[in-house]
Amino acid sequence: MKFETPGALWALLSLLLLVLFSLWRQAAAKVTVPSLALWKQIPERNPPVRALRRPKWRFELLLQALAIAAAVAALAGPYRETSELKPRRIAIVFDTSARMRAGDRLRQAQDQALALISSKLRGDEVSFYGALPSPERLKTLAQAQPVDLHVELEPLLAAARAAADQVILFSDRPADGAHLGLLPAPSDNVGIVEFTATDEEVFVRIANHGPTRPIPIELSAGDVRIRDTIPPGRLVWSRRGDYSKAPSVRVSLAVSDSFPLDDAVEAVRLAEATTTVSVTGLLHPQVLRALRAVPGVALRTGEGSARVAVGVDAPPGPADLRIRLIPAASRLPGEAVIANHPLMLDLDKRAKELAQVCGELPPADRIGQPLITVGGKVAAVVNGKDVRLCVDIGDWGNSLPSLPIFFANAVDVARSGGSRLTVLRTGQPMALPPETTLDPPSEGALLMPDGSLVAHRVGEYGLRTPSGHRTVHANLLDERESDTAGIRRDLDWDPGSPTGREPKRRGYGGIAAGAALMLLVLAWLMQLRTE
Amino acid sequence: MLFDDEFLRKLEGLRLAVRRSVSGRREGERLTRKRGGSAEFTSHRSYTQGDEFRAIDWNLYGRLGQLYVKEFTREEALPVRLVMDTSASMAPKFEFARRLGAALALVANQESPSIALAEMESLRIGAPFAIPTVPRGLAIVVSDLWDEGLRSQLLRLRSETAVIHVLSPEELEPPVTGKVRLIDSETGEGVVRYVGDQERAEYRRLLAEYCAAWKKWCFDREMNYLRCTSSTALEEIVQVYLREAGVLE
Repeated sequence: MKFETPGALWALLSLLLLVLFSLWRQAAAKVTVPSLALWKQIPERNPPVRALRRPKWRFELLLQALAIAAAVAALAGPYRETSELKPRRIAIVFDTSARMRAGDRLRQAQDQALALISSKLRGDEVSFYGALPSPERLKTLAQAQPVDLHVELEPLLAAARAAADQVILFSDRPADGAHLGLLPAPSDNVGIVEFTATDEEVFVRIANHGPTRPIPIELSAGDVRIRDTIPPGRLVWSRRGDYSKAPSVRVSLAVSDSFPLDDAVEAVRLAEATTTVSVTGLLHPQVLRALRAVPGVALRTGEGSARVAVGVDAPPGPADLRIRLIPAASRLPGEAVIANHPLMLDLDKRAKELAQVCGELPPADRIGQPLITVGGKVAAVVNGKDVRLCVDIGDWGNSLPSLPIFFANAVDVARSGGSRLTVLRTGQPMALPPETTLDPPSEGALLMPDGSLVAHRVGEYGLRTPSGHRTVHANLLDERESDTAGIRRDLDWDPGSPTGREPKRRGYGGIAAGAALMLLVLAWLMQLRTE
Repeated sequence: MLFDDEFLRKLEGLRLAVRRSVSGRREGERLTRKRGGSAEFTSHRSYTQGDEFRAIDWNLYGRLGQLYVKEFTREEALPVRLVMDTSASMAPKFEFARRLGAALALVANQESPSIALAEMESLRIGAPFAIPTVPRGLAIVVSDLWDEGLRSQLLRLRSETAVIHVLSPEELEPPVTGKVRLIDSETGEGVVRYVGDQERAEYRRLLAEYCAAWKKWCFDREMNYLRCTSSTALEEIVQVYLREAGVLE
């Protein structure tokens, strides 16, 4: 007989406590006396220590001692080893990343797992884990299907380790804490792994697991269509241009490989590409030039409705953002302090420049959050959608870059940031303009409480935005570029080896616990009877 | 048969002792101060208004020229009432108390049959115990005196009283040790005490004080008091202790 936790046997010392306690609190013998008149006058006291030397052994004390001994034995986990081997708890983890589609690797993994179970894992408790896309215990092998996103292995392995003694991982990348069955990436795959698109430039980085060769690439942005070829050996490609009018930008590789999910990417603009800006008052040429320099701005003069209204020494027209430029009578001495505000983005680097052109706002116009202060005097404020700026227009527009930066910020704020080209990556949240909904609803994507969108499948998703219906493309863009392409490695563990396997145990803890309970009840009944 | 012949013969020589003159309804061997119709002359005293003319000693008047009346005492039977404590606390010593009571009854009946022995034999433990009012004569109370209410009942007795305090050896020296739950035989109340040498000594001291208090209380009220143990031979109690206590003579 052995014990799983022999340390628990120290609890047998509690028997000593039981005996001492029992001696101290021996059940009082009943004695009938003619009268208690005198006994009541004798104070009660605890038995002296010497009285403990004359224990009065009772049957219930024996039962209690046996109950404790049985309970301690149950805690210690008594068992006897049998001639059979103990079944192992083994978790087989499948990397269900989208890249496992390439070359049908997940199917290969399932076949290997099946072969293992029917041969070397016979008699063991085997469970399956995969990410769908969150880590889950799978009911069957067939449930291990790839998802259209990159799966982080660590949470998946952690879930498996919590329920198993041994973890087998089938993946195309190594990971710690698991026996790896390496299934290499196919050696023919070419795909886009990084993609950025702005109004001025498009950039892609590709991975090529196949032979070095020229790779045809195509870019579509509105009316613009560009075909090019990436020279052999190069893994990046970019193209500058004016994409500000394009509602979306798509880049695709004209290759035929085993994994087409990463052959095309697309960026989309969730808000209108064009922003109307009206200018009233003094039509200063430098102001008009700076506004025209902002991509996607449609400029017009007069007080008509616009997204942004600028009033130069005059009230601006109706708009989502109204900017009034007040001519500065005199410049302010001192250093300029630029507030942390979207309207002031990148202008903190131009503080010295702004200090040279700003004047103090009249008291009536100082209401709101200060945007620029020079020498402690307020030069610009924002109050809701009204902006007041006291500035020398002539000097500011004299080729100083802070003027177009300010207007670019103003246009961006008015657009709520939705007019930029946005890349949606599977599994990653993408910020949406306010009040945007999924239309039609899709099981492959979730609209999060913070208003962002998370897509779990590569493909198209419909969105209803305040500026109309848009279609957004979810891209794989799995930056993991396997370094194991073409390398195959069998499982680095032999489950059939008897080394380290433990014999099967027959436990007696339950019997001991039952006996303890029974003895305890008996002791209790005995005590009731005695009382 | 409660007693053997030898013991009965010893009882024949005994009689109940009384400190003062008592009177009863029946004539007996006891002299009372009751005047009139007497057989035995006691003394002379001066005549006072209301005295019977028959009692005037005319011879003495002739010699002394003053009126004196003769006083006589009358022999009457002594009324004896035997009160036996039958409460539950008497259980361990009840047999002893019953035999003692029977012996006293036999002694009393020698003068005048006033106590029915059959009553003594029919006494059972556990019966409600209360001391009846005894207007005159002699009352003998046999009890363990654990009931504090006895004092007030004894005070209501207007007769001469003898209190025989009976204790069992277990009461004198409780045979308990260790932790015990002590149960009152009459109320059923219980207290838990650890009984060691210290507690036993304390019990003995309290018991001695308790008995002394009863003795003093009885003496202060001109009652005879005798404490006896139920393990003592009845003959010794009757022949020695009751005589010393002034209950028998």
